[in-house]
Amino acid sequence: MPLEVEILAAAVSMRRAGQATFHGFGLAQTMREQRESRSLTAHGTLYKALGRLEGLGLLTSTWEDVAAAESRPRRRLYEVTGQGIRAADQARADQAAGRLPRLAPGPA
Amino acid sequence: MRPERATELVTRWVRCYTRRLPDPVADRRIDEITADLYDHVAHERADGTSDRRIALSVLSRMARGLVADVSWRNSVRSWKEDLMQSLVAKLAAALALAALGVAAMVYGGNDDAPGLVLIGLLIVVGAFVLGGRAIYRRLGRP
Repeated sequence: MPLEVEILAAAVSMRRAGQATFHGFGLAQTMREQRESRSLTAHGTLYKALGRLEGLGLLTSTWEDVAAAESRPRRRLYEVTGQGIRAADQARADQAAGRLPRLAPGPA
Repeated sequence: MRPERATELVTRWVRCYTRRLPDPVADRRIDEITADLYDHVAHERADGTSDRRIALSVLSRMARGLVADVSWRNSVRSWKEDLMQSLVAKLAAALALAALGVAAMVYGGNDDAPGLVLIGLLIVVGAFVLGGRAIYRRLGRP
């Protein structure tokens, strides 16, 4: 499964579980659990894919409040958009139908 | 190796490939990876993972992402372009060219080949022109 599709699927599952926003390491952990892997997604591939998804309008991101970060470095918080949810559902349908899942952002 | 040493190496690498990028782009990538590294180490320590395994995990994430880092860097701003614009790179190229010219002149002189001496001389002159032009342009830049 292309990494971008995997990220969107993880983002949608986190959102449906009540976690509206996520950060890079949290996402890497969720994806590791979902694919039952031992290794976390590499920094380079993860953040490049997140940037691409944001560029496609499937994710949005903002910096965490400094106050919320307390003494640790502030995180970049991502949120899946409505367009992203539709793209993830379409990718899942493609996969179920035996087609290669593709990310084609639909109308906003 | 301690996790702090591994995170320091990753941070250095991020600072290296974000050099010469626009500040907002570079700062975002550096801050995002810094937060990720902090969360990674804190999470693994809370799980009781040994320092050595945490460090290996951090370095493994960096190593597996190197190609994507370079590709991302080049998509934002070409590394080759930066290298071509670098004064040090231009001076090094001029120096290498001058050395080649001197070698051609020496070999041409020893083998009694005036053509090769002339080519060597032209290469040396060309190298000086290139080096001088690079310095002049750099000094003329505001």
